[in-house]
Amino acid sequence: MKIGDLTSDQLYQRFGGAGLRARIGPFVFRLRSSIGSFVEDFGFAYADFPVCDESEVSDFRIRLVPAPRWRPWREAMARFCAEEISPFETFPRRIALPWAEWGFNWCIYTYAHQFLIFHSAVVERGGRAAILAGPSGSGKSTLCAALLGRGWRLLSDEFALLDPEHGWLLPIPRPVALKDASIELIPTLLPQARLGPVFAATRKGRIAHLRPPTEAVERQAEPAKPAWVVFPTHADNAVTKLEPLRKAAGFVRLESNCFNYRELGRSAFEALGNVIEKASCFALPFTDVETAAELVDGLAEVQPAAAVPLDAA
Amino acid sequence: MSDGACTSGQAGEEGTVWAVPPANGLEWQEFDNEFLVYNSASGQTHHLNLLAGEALRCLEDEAVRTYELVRRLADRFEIAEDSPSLQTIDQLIREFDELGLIAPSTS
Repeated sequence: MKIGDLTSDQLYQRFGGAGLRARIGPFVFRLRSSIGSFVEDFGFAYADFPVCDESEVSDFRIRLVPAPRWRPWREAMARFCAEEISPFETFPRRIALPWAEWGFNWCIYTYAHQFLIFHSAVVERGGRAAILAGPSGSGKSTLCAALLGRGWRLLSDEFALLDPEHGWLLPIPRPVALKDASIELIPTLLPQARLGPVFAATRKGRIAHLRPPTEAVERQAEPAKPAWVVFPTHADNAVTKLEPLRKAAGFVRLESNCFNYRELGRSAFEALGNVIEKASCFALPFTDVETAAELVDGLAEVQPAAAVPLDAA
Repeated sequence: MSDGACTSGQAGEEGTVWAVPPANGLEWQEFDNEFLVYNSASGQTHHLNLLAGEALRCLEDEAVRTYELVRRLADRFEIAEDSPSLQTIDQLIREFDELGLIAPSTS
């Protein structure tokens, strides 16, 4: 059963009772909340994700709870809790979904050390993945959306989850968080996009979430091998070009985008080296996202997919 | 770590025998004549050019004095011992020491 198959009443009952258990990538999240706008927004953005049954152990137990309003003229506030930990200050309830997304990120990079985790979008074509690595504001989400419009499969908008033992990238195709001017670009880049509400005045400006393509969610158990590591950097006056990087430079740049390199130590060094050895690395300064997407698209055409099953590599 | 005993220009530097401490347990990756080295003791990864990588490999293989290291690198690269690139070895040793990659050998 998908989250979108639940009626509105059923969704509220799950959120208000024992919790909604949802499989999101390799994780099971159990979510509880009595904040109606959050339940509605989450239900839209995660409609295609499977509901887990009660027997499945949850990796993260999340609550979004109303927070006390100390001054009556202030807007209604909420708090994000993972187990009994509140990693953030309170926030306005009207922007609970963006904060929940940041909270999910926090859970993953704080606890999921079975993976080497990079700050990166990941898209796949023909079984091979492009890691689009960079900090917030580098343009990776917009580029990711543009590549979805060109037929690439969404593996992730926020994290590359690398299985250090096998070298696979595991999908976690959560909603793509688009910011500010990128929101208006989406109808052109991805005409079939299903955008959620625009949340104004968040800590990262205006944000809207692109509901992940249904196929990406249905295939969220299918990993991919990294074939390209691309470092997009958006700037208004950049000359858009794909510049090959030396592998050692690619290693250092990707390491700088890793959340838990130090925690994993030697195995992180080895796993990252294996990625870099097999992948081609590029810098991608860009102004125009469609041109940038065309350049990345061209990589898959230049290097046709090898007809090798994943488990044979 | 080394208490500055090996700072360039100080008495005794010429006689210092340098080595990679066994506890460092260095891990290596090489890409197109550039090296990435993981130091298990510090948890840090270092990016080295060809000369620095070969110098550290020499010190990992065997404890040597600076002049011996220069001689080995000259042999390795088939260049003169007084060539400009090998005149940077003192500084390289100092940087390795500061990064905790090497230390005066006590054995």
